[in-house]
Amino acid sequence: MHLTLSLTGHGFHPAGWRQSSAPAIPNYRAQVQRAESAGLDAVLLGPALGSPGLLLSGGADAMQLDPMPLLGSLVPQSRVIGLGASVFMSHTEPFHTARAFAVLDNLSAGRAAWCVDTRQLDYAAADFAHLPLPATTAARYARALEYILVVKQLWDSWQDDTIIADKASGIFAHGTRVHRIDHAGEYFTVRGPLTAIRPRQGRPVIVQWDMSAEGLALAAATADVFLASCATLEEAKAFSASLRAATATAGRDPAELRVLLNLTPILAATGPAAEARATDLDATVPPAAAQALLAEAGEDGPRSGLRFIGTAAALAEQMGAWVAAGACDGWNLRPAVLPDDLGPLLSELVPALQRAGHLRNAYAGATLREHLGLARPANPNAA
Amino acid sequence: MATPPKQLHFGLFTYPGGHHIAGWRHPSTPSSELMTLDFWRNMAQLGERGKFDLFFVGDTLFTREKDGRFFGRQAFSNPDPVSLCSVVSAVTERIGVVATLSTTYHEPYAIASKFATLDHVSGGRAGWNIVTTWEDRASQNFSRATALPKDDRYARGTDFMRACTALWDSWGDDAMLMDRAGGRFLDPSRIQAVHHRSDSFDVAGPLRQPRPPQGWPVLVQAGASPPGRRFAAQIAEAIFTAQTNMAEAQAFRSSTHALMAEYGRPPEAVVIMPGLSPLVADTEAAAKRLEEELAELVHPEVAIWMLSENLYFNFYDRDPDDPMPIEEVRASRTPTSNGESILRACARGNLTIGEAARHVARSRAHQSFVGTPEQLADLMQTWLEAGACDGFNLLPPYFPTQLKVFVEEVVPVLQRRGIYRRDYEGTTLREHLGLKRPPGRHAG
Ligand SMILES: Cc1cc2nc3c(=O)[nH]c(=O)nc-3n(C[C@H](O)[C@H](O)[C@H](O)COP(=O)(O)O)c2cc1C
Repeated sequence: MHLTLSLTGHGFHPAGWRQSSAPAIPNYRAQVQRAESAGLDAVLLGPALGSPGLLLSGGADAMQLDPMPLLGSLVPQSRVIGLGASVFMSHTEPFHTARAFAVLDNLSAGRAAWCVDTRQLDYAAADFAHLPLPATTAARYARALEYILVVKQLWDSWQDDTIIADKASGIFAHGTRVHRIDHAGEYFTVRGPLTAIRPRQGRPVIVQWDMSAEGLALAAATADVFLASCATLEEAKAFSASLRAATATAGRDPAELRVLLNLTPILAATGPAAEARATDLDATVPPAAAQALLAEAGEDGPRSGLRFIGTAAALAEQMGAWVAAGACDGWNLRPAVLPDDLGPLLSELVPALQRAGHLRNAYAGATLREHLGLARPANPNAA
Repeated sequence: MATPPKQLHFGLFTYPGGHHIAGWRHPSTPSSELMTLDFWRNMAQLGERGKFDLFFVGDTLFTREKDGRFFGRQAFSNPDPVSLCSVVSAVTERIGVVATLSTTYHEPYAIASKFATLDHVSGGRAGWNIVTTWEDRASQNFSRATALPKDDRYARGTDFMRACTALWDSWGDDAMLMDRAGGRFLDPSRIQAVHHRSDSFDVAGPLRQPRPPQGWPVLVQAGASPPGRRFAAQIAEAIFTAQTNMAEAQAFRSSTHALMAEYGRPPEAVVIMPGLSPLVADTEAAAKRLEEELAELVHPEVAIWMLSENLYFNFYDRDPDDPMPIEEVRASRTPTSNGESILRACARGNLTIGEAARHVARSRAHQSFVGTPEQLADLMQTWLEAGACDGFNLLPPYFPTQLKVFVEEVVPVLQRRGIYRRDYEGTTLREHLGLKRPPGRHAG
């Protein structure tokens, strides 16, 4: 199975920060290095958890460093683990997004993932209120699709073998292997080529998690990895089946898409002890934060997904069983308390999964695509 | 007590392969590794060994492609500056990291977040070279046919910076509490929305990051157009320029100080760094030989490309043995000041197109120096003492060799003369440059 880790500040639980041993700005480098020693496929850096209302309640960790420069700072601190960062689509340009991921993919020797944030949140829009946003849901997803297709074309605008740097002849690059894209669409007009050579992975891994019907169609057409939030085994099986069917309908091989389930484990040595931990966490959400969370329950916030309360051994068993049942290809861990929960997750859960044969013991490849078992995309311009 | 001598500041102006168009062909340049972490790590760490104030990444938002003809190093752009600076910040400890970013093709909230984050992950070493991007070819990658008119660019840029500085100040320095027992993650009374509403922007705020360690990243401006200079006089804390002689540089520096006074800013609020491309060897003759070697390495078609780019005129399909069509070039588009000086040189020397191309390939927009470490130290000291600069932005013609030569051969001379630091005294870029930390609106 595949395993990724979302690093969300002091933890995914709104009271997680109260138990966290991290300083105000957590040490991401140490956490990535621990995830790498455990052999995880990737760490993912997400958007801030919650609205400015939650931030200003003062009682929860709703701050967040910008995922892109944060990812950059982690590139030299790690060797093989994949590194993903989320970017809002609503107010960014595909050219900048394509370039930043191309550069980070090359500097990390093929480990970058673009986590596509399709949400169009009222509170985020307030920071860009001068920009027109697509008025309808259909328009919003049409723009998102066009955005992703432009990014992919830009990644392909340089063929792999463009740079030869032949000192003897003075030929640095094959000019005929660089292509304008001349895209003129409904939402973007982009000439290209990109100001960056083709990424090491061909295309960095594209991660999505939008569970709406439109989000599912978008993922079916464009995603490499989908992070699904499902509450039960049956729900997860049904969702995965519909996503795979949609992928086939979109003309892709469903085997090109990895479905991971979002999971927040609350672990302890015994079941009752884990229950007590969960109760304690839930009871210690500061009242102001609890109120702000209620107020934003309507927004499609990122705090959904499965929660498991129990022992590492029991969780390992459940994770294996769900994968065997076809509910998913793996899991995206969102620890309740960071970095503290990494202890049991990486030193108990991961070895248990390895012993059971669910997880590889060491990295077999060098790039994130290789970890995920995804092929390197061919470049249509090279044909 | 005698006042200590004024100190030089250095920027490391990076460019893959080096600033000379043929620098990548030098035998020592690792030209097939320009997109690897090792190449950039090596460069930044060399700069840090030389106690440079900052590592600087310029930016281009379009690829210089010409109907499949490009094939020289000009094909290659810098890596995305903010990304590269964030990577470099993790392999260095002291040197500042300055990323170029355009106010024309970005949004203030997103960019304020990016630089706040870069300042956090680097421990207070971030700087921002604020540009407004004049190239039409860049706008065509962002759903626009042409660049904004110059005045509009700077009006937007000024407004952009108001929004960004308000956002960086949206948190008080003491807003984070981490009071676990009391359930107070932060103090909401130390965080305020910004509600920046103007012709260009409507930004609510606050940011999602604590106030940057430096308060604001160091704000840098480059170039010398009149609106650019006025923009710099209001906000820039470092200015990258390109004067090629000392009298011009002196005039530029004193008129910048005068312009700053109009906005109530003292001269010490800015560090002015002209560009300088040094080619250094043990003897003057050896340095001259290096210069010749590099000139020989410029591919004739690359030289034609440079000529075309500098004059905004298509020379690709002309016979290089034809005389320069000087009047035709003038008539097709009013030349820039740089273009006009090229045309005058062509007229003086009666140059053919091929000769003009070789002439352009040799000359550089920035001052170039060819000589020994002592001679370079003399030049730098003279400029510093004459008030022509506060330091230099260095453009080594090929990387990493010429940077290494500078660090190992020139830096010790400057240190012996007492005009350059032997070690960093502070940890932030502001401290290296001797700049004040903005107090913020929650101060006091
Ligand atoms: C040392 C130096 C570095 C510069 N770096 C950049 C850069 O990285 N990106 C950019 O778009 N412009 C850069 N510029 C150009 C200026 O920002 C400016 O656009 C140019 O001087 C033309 O002036 P104008 O924009 O006011 O018309 C640089 C200029 C100088 C002198």
